Amino acid sequence: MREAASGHADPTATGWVRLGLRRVYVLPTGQGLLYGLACLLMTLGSLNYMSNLGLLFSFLCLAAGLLAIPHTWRNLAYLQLRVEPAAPPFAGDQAEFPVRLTEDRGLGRAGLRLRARDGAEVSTDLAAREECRVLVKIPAPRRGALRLGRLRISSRFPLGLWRAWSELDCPVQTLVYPRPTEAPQAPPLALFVRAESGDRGVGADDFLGLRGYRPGDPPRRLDWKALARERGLVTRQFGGDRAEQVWLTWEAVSGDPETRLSRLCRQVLDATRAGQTYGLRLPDREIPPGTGEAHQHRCLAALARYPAGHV
Amino acid sequence: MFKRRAPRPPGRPLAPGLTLAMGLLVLAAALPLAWELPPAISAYLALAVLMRLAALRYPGLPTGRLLLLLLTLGGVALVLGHFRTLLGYEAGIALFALMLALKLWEMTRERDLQVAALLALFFLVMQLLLDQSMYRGAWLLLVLVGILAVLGAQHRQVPRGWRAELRQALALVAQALPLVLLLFLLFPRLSAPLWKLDLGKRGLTGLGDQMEPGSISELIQSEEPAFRVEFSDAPPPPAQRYWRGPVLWHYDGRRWTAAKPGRQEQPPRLVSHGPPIQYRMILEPHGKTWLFPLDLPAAPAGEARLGADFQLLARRPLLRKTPHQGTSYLEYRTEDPDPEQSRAALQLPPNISPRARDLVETWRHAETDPAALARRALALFRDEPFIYTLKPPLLLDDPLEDFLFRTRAGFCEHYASAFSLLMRLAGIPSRVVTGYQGGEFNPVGGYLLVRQLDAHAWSEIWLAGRGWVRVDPTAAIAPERIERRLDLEPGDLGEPARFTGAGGWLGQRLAQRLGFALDALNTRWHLWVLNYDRERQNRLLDWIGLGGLGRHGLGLTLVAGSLALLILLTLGLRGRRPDPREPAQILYQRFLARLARAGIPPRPEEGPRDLGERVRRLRPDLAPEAGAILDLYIRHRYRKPGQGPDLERLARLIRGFRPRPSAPTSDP
Repeated sequence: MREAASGHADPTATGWVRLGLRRVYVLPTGQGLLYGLACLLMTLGSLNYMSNLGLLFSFLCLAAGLLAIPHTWRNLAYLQLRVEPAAPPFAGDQAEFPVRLTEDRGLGRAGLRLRARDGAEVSTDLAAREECRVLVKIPAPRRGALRLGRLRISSRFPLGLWRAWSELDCPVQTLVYPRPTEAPQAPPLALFVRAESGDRGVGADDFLGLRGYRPGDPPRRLDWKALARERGLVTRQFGGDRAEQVWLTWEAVSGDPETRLSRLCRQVLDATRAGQTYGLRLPDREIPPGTGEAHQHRCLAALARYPAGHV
Repeated sequence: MFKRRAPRPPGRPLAPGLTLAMGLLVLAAALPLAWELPPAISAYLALAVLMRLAALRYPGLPTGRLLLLLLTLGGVALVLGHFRTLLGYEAGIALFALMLALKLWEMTRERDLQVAALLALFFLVMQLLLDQSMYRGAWLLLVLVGILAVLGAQHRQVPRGWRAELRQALALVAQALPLVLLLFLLFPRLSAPLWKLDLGKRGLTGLGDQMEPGSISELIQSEEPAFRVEFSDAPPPPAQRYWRGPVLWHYDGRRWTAAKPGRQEQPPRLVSHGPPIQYRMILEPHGKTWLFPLDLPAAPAGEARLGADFQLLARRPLLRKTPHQGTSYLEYRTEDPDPEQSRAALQLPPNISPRARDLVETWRHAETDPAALARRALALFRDEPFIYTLKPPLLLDDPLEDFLFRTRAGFCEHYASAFSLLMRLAGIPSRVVTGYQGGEFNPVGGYLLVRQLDAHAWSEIWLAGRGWVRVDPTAAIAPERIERRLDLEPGDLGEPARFTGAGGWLGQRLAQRLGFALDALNTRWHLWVLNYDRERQNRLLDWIGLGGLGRHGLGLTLVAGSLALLILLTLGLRGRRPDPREPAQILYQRFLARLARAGIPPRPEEGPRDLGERVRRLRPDLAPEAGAILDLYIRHRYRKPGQGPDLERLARLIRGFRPRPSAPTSDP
C-alpha cells in the first residue's frame, strides 16, 4: 500500500484502508491533563502526610491512567475502513457516505468516532472479527462533485484520558444535485409524438390494460386492489400512441443560471412523480426522453454537472 | 499553524444509567465517613444524592439551578455550624463530599461525568490521608474499580451489562498492579513534609499527664486498642506486664501531676539488671509523646528519649500509628535519687489527713524497716474491708481520709494514690506511675494487644539497697486484675469489679477467634505496607543493588520501568494475526499433534478416513474417541452451507482428547 507524500495512504485496490501501527496517533485529552494534575496532587499529599495507603491509591490512579494508552491505541489499531459513495443529495442537505468498518485481529472495539470535515460525529462499537456500517454525513451546500475528503476516526475509550486518532484523505465522492425550487413550476409544453403503429386514438389518460409489475413502475400505477385480492403486483397501463412526452428545456425557465437549474430540477422531479416521459435539453447537452429512476438520475446529474459561469 | 476549527459540540448527553451508577458510587465513597462526620451532615449528603437519583426515576421532581444553589448554601451552613470553620481536615473533607454530591446535580454531559469521576478519585485519596485501615482501603478499592467501570461504560456506544464493565475495570487494575508496585517501591519519599497543614487531632483517647480519682476508671470504658506488642522470645508472665506511662510526682491534695523535679537531662542508669527482653510495638495515635515501654526500659535506639524517671518519650506527638523497637529489663536495680528527687518524692500537701498521719505513726513505732512498712500498708488494704470497684462513691473534701476511713472503695488510682501518700507519710520516697497493665494475647497474630481498658496506676517506692521498686496495691486487693482482663459490665455504685473468665460458649469463642484473625491481619498490614518509609526503602534499594542511585537515578529507573511495562502491555494487547486457515483446520492440526504424541505420527497424504483406519489398527484403545472426532470433522468439512455439526462440539471433543503417549510402533 503506497503512502502519499502527505502521509495519507491511498486505499488498496479493494478500497479498504488499514490503520497500521504508524497511522494511529495518541495524545492526552484535556481531561487527561486534568487527571494527571490530580494524580500529582494526590501523590504529593500522600507523600506529605506519609500515608502509604494514599500513595498506593494515587499510584493506582496514575498507573491506570498511563495504561490506558495501550488500550486506547489498540482500540483503533489494525482497524479496516472502506468508504463507499453516498447516495446523491440535494444541495443544502447532507451527503451520507456509508463507511464499512471491520477488524480481523480478534479485538473488540468501542466508542469509535468518525467525523469528516464539519459534518456531525457518528459513533459506534465494533465486535471482534465483525463488520459494521455507519453513515458519515457532511453538509452539501453546493451542487456538483463533492469529495468526502478528510475523514477522522478517533476514540477516547476506555477512560477518556487519551485520544487515539487517524486521518484519512478519502477521494470518494458523490454528486450533489441542485436544490429544487419549492414552488411548483408551470407545466412544460407537451409535445405530441406520433406512435409507431399509428394513432389508435387513445389518449394518455386512457386505461389500456394490466401488465406484470416491472421494477421502476410508479406506485400510483399499481393495481392495489389486485394485490389485495392476492393476485400479485400488477401495473395499470395508460396511454398509448399519444403518450405524453415533454421536453424540459433551458430556454423554457427563467432566471439566472442557478435558478434555472433549480427550476429544472423541480420539473424533473415532478415529471418523474407524475410518471411522464420527459427529456432534458441544456445548452451543453441533451438527454433524450425516458422514464424511470435511472433516467431521473441522468437528468439530475446533468443539471448538477452543468458548468457554473456558463451563460 | 492552528487552523480554525469548528466550535466543539457541547458533548453527548449522559445516559441515565451512568448517572445512577455515579450516584451510587458517590454514596459508597462517602460511606466510611458516616462513622466520623456528624450525623446531620451525613444525612444531608445522602439526601442530596438520593434526591438526584430519584429525579431520574420520576422526572417530575425539581432539579433546577435554584434548588442546587439552595442545597449548596444549606450544606455550607451545616458544615460551618458543626465545625465552626471551613478550614481544617474534617470541615474540608465534609465540604468536598458535599461538592461531590452536588456535582451529580450538574451532571448532564459526558464531560461532567468525567470531572465527577476525577473528583471522586481525589475524594478517595483524601480520606486515606489520615486513616489507613485495611477495611477502608479494601472498600475504597472497590469504589475505585466502580469508578473506572463507569468511565469505561461512558465511552461505549452500545451499553453492556454492569458485570462486563466491572470485569473490564478489574482487568485494567490487574494490569496496573506491576506498575503500582514499581512506583510504590521506588518512588522517592520525602524526608520532611513539604507543607505543614495540620490534619488536626481527631478525638484521640489515652492517658493524660494528671491523675485524680476517677480519671482511670473513666478511661477504661473504652475498648479501643492502645498498642500492640510482639516479643522476640516468649512474652513475660502477666504479673510482669507493666507498661510505663507518665510518672506523677506532685500531689496537691486532690490531683497528681507530673511536675518533675530538676531538669531531666541525664538519662538514668541502672546499677544492675537481669536479661533484656526485646519487643516490637505499634502504638495507636494518642496525641502525646509517651511510648509505654515495658517496665523498665533500657536506653533506646532511634529517636526516643529516656527521661530521668524512666519514661520513654518520642520526639514528636503521636498522631499516627507508630512503630517502636524496644528493650526492657524485668529485673533491675536503679541508682539512688539525687536530693532534689528525694525531696520531691516526699512532698506532701499542707492539708494532709491527720488521721492518716496518726495511722502511719503507729506503724512506724512498730516497724523500722521500710519494706515492712510497705507490707503493713498493703495489709491494711487486704485485711480491712476495702472494695475494688469501677464506681466508687464520690470522695469529698479530703480524698485520702475519705477513702481510707469512710468509703473504702475505689479503683486502681485510688489505691495507688493512697499507698504512695502513706509511704510519703512514713518517710519513704514514692511516686505514682500510670500506664497500662496486662494485655490480651492474640494467638493468630502472635502479639499482645493492650487496650485502653487495660489502663492502670501503681506506685513506686524507693528502698535503700534496692532502688526504685514497683508496688502495685491492686495486687493486694484484687489480684485477679493482674492476671485477667476487666469485664466491662457496668456495675452499681460500690459493686466490686468483675474480671473476664476464660471460655464462653462456642459462638463467643468463634467470634473472638475471628476478631483475633482480623486484628492480626490489620496489624500485619500496618507493619508491612504502611510502615514502608524512607528507611525501609533505602534498605530495599541496597538489597537489590540500586543503593547508589540518588533521586535522579531513581526517577530515571522509574521512567524506564514504566515505559517497559507500557510497551509490554501494548505488545500484549495487539491481538492475533488473522489465521488464514479455517477454524476446523486449526482444530484438526491440534488433533493430529496429540495423536503424534500418542505414537501415531500423521502422514501427509493420508485423509481423515484412512487415518481413522490406522488408529484402529495401531491404538485400538483410542479408536472410539478418535473415530468420533474424525467423523465429526469430516461431516463439518464437507458439509453443505448452513448445515452440519457446529464447531463447538468438535473443539470440545478435541480439547478432551488426551491420549496416553506410547512409543511409535511400526506399521505392519
